[in-house]
Amino acid sequence: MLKRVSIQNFKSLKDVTLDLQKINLLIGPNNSGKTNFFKALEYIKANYRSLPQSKDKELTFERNGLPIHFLITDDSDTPLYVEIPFDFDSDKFLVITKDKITFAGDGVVPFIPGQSELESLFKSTTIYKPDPNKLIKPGPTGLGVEIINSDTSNLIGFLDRMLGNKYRKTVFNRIENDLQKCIPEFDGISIDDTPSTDELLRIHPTGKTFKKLGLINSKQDITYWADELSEGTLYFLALLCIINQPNPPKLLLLEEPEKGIHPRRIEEVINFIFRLADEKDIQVIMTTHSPAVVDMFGDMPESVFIFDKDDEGATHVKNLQKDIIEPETAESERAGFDPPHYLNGLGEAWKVGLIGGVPR
Amino acid sequence: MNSILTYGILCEDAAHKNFITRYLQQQYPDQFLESAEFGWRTRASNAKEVGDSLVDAVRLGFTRFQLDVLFVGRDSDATDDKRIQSLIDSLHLKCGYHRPKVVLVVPVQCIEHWLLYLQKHRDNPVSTKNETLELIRRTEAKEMVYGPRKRDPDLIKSNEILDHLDSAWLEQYSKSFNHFHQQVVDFLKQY
Repeated sequence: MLKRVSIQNFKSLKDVTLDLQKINLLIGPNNSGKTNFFKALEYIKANYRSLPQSKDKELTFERNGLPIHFLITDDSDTPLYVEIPFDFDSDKFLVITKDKITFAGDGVVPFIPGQSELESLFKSTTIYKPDPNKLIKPGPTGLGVEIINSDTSNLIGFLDRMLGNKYRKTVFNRIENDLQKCIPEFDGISIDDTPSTDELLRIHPTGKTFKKLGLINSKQDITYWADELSEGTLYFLALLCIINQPNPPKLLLLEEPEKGIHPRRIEEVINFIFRLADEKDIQVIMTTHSPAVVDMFGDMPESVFIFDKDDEGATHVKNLQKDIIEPETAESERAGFDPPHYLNGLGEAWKVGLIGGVPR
Repeated sequence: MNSILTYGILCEDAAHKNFITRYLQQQYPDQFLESAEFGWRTRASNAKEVGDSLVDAVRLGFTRFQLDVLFVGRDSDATDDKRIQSLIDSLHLKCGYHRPKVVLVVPVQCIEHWLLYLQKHRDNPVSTKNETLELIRRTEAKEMVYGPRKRDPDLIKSNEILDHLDSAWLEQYSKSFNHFHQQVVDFLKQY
């Protein structure tokens, strides 16, 4: 699990540090840097192979502009503390392990303990932003899809693979069961053949066979095809597939998991994500614009990070517990005032602007 | 004492904020200045949010934002004196230690009833007819002030009325406005 991420000079993240928990919630106005934080993590993933890894490996990391610094701390058996100031002018960098600080130059770095754990963590990391519109039309099948892509546009191929492969059938059954638990009116998933059309072939040039997605209501004996289902229901199905896929990400990045979902059902979705983090040992970082989601973090203020931008456009991040509640409580005690009451209605406190993270 | 008093507003909608701002500008020009930061950071959008966030807003207002005075605007949504007093008492209770620096703006029914009185006075300044406009339903009062089918407060209409804000006159006709105005007068006596 990632314990601490410090980022300097990546887009609006001039100098931010997040002490992460198992589940993390990022809140703040639009364009405050939440997505940039996700992109920074993706950037590490995309360039992981170029990052210093062994004595034989040269540093070939390339990016124009300011040097980018990442500091990542994990809690694996061999704790890793790596600070990598990428300075392309000098090709020099610093490696900090648990025991020693090594300065290396010319792109050659020593072995970093714990790197394999970190690599596997990042390898599966994807920012998931399910797009229900991409599920409405039939999708290509027979391509052996086992990993869901970031916008979940290959979900039909994925479900078809899970249904058709005897070793993957349990995954399909699990998704169906979870769906029924959360949306009881649907008790089955249907994946049906549909003829290929010029339009489908244009969108999916490699596709040979196509299928459409539907959800079954056995009581009514009706299959509701994707174009008849609500955006929220499709989004929810996509979320279930992401977390039940055979090799789910160890670090799950979710943008606005509440999008298009009824307020009462939001609680189920978020509880589902909480359960997932516990049962499958997945670390979750998600963003939200919903006070209903924020309310659900009233018992874990240490998991809430509030993003704001200053007048120069730099992102500042505050941890609700450490940077807001604790200092304000101490100040109130000194002055003899009531301590903060935010946690009684955290979503409302955020919306009104008491904890920051609001637009001007 | 500060020569200019810094104030913040926590209220349930734009009509309240506009009324308080215009009242201060007209009655006490150059005496009050709104804290810009408190102004954009702290914004409730309904009565429940005002009530629920009052304790923290008061604490932050007088510590982090260094306000001299906080105006708290909430429609009473009632005509019954007991219910209105009970609302005022509960809001006061939430202000705790800071109560002397908090001014409550709690109109009978809603803020549009104050505007309605002022509108009648503007349209017929010589009339001495003592009408109790507060018995008019809230939706009807809003229509009479803003025009039909207006969902949001029309601040242009409201400002046309507030250009003629005669506090001394309104005090005689509206007990709830008098309660608000007297708090401001008493607050200023401290300085």
